[in-house]
Amino acid sequence: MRLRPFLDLPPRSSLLLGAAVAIAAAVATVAITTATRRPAPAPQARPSALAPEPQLVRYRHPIAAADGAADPDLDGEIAALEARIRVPAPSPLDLTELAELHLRRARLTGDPADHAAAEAAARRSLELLPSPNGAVLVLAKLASTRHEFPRAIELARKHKQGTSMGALMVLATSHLALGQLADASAAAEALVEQQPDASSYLMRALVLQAQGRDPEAAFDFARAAAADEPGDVQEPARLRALWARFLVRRGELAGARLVIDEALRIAPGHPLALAQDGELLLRTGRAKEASARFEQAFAASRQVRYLIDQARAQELAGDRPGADRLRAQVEKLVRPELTEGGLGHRLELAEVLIDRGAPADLTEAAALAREEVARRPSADARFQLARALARTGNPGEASRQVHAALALGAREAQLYELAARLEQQRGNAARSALYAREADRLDPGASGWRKAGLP
Amino acid sequence: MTRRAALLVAVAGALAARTASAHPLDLGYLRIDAAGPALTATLDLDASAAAHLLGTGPSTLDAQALRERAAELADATIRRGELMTELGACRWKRASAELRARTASLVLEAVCPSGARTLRWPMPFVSGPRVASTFQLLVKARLGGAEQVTTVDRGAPELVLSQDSRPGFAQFVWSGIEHIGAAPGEWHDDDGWKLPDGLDHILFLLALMLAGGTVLRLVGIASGFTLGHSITLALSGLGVVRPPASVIEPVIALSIALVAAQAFLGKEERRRWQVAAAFGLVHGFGFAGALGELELSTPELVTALFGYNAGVELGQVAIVCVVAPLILLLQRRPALHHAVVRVLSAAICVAGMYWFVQRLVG
Repeated sequence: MRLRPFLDLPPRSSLLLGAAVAIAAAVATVAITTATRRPAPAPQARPSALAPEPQLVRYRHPIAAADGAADPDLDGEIAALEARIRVPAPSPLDLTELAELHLRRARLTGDPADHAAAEAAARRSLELLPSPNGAVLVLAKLASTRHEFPRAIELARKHKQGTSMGALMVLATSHLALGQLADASAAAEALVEQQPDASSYLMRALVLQAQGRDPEAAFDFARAAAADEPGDVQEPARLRALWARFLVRRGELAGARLVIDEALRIAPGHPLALAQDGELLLRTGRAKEASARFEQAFAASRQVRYLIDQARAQELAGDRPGADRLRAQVEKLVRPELTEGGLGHRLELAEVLIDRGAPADLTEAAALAREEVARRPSADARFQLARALARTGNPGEASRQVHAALALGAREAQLYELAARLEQQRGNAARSALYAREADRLDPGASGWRKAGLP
Repeated sequence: MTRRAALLVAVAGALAARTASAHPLDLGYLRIDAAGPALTATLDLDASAAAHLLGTGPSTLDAQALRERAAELADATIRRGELMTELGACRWKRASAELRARTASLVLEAVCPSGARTLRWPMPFVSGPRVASTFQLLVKARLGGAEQVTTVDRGAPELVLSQDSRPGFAQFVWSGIEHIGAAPGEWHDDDGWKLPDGLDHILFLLALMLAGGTVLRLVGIASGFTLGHSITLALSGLGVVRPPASVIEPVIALSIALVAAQAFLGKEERRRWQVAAAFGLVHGFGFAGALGELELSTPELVTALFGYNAGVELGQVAIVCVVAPLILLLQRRPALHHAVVRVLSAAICVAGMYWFVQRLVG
């Protein structure tokens, strides 16, 4: 083709040609960047089977102002019982009741002194009356709080052969924590059969969620909400926060938004609801807002978990140095507990070390996660171990851990994303694509959050 | 998945009708916001920890009592140590407290000496008998626009915060390179290719250079642009002149369109370096926007300006090094060069006009 006719174009034609080139260039640029970039988070076109009914989400009772003290009579009751047991031969029933009151106050305040007092009273009661004695259930609950789940199970089974409401709740919680889902399910079913109230339905919903039985879990979350009682709003808010967590993780983002908004309407500063709001914002590409929400959740609860989430959101918002500074502080907060033999934050420390990603950190993280899997082989622990192994160049073992987590019924977008990458590394393209599709389905926002901290 | 740990903690406490945190007495959160002489400190503690500090029963502290005893709680906690700066002590103003579920939130306001850059704040209460031996206070402070995170505990019971921990010269240089769009991260990220934020400056330079000339002339154009934007970057950075972005951004867009139109029409070829300098004055105000957010003091600003300007220059050199050889090569075929100038300058003019309208109507 000859160029000269084009080169001799008059100015006006050149201008028109230039405008046409500009428009074509703009269209081409948009097309190329759209094709190469991930799509912006898209709203869900139609509700899924898990989508909640708005009328079931709504808290139907009046919302009382939460200005009162936790339990003003509790201190008085404890004081009265302590006076009563100061006799040479105190009643084992009084001791058991005292243990229960201390435990109740410990649940409200978290005071370790109350935990210790509850344990001391319960043990003393059992010395006087080995069986039947409700004090064994107090010890079971204490063991559960301390994450001594096998011990908690052993003790709970001693209380009315593990058939009381309290024992069943401990059994369901502890088996769930250990990844023993069949046993957790049995305990949860027995709970609902004995007392079909909000807490029983909620427990069963959580077990079903862990098993990957999503429609049934969705049903039970709704049943739990329907069984709301008037009065304290913290429990209804917590229920909705847990429900929203389930929906967020299953990619039902519109439903999650509905439920979270209701939780925050009921209890505006509820930390778990704030954290789920943060999670939802993160999954829809609003990392900076998510970071602020996690910070609010931390301020309202001082749970280290939310700092880890905040650091992740900060990094996704582009502030890697700020995220690492925060991770350094998280490490400083949780290490003393580990050196003193505490177990509660081991997995969280592993998670922070993996997120930071330095070679020495990853080696330590793998060791911590291995210990946690040995003690508590839950899907969560296996996922963290898989992350650490994948980043330390051990894809084979990482893959085994991922599949073990999937076999437990875990269905999380990040887990599938990791599975896809590991299969890709091992040359299994078709299987990798399968997992990638599942990850996309569970993460419709596709904002990039799920790649954070993965190899 | 990774939230399961928190879920299990919550579930394990499900026997009571309330949520108990894992270590409620062990962790506090202190946020400090210092803007000029005004300082606000917000301390969040578990309600039972606050009750212990006030010497009342943990389950009996209610919202009314906390509000009434805010000053007492302040004196028992963060107001126990004197808040000092290198220029003298800060003066406390008011204290207020709120109870939100199981969190006691204390807010203190203070006035510190103007221009202070270091805060020294002893926290003896973390070592006191009414606080758990494992108690730790996470501190997040915002001083002079920069955020710092640290921890106070029995091992380190004093908080020291300084505004010296600021971005260094090298970071300002990189900022400048990024702003003009010459950093690789401006063109590509994890999600794929993208257009840099500094595309308007790049197109402006390109439009100036399109008409070609000798190497000296091209260097002159770049230098003229440098001279112009350096002057206004300094004026704006030092706060002498700070026109609003709503005016500057559309004018920058218009400058692109005008320069492109000049190139198209083949006008003012000999005075392009002067045109570059003149419009560089406008672009300099645009570059200054990023520095304004840092709220730097005057000595820091000088460093920042030098660094940032150096970064813009380096970025500019990178762009010129890519574009200039292509233009010099093109000039060997005058007819083709003429056509390319016409077409590209028309395209840039259209882009400039589009941005002008877009930035004008917001």
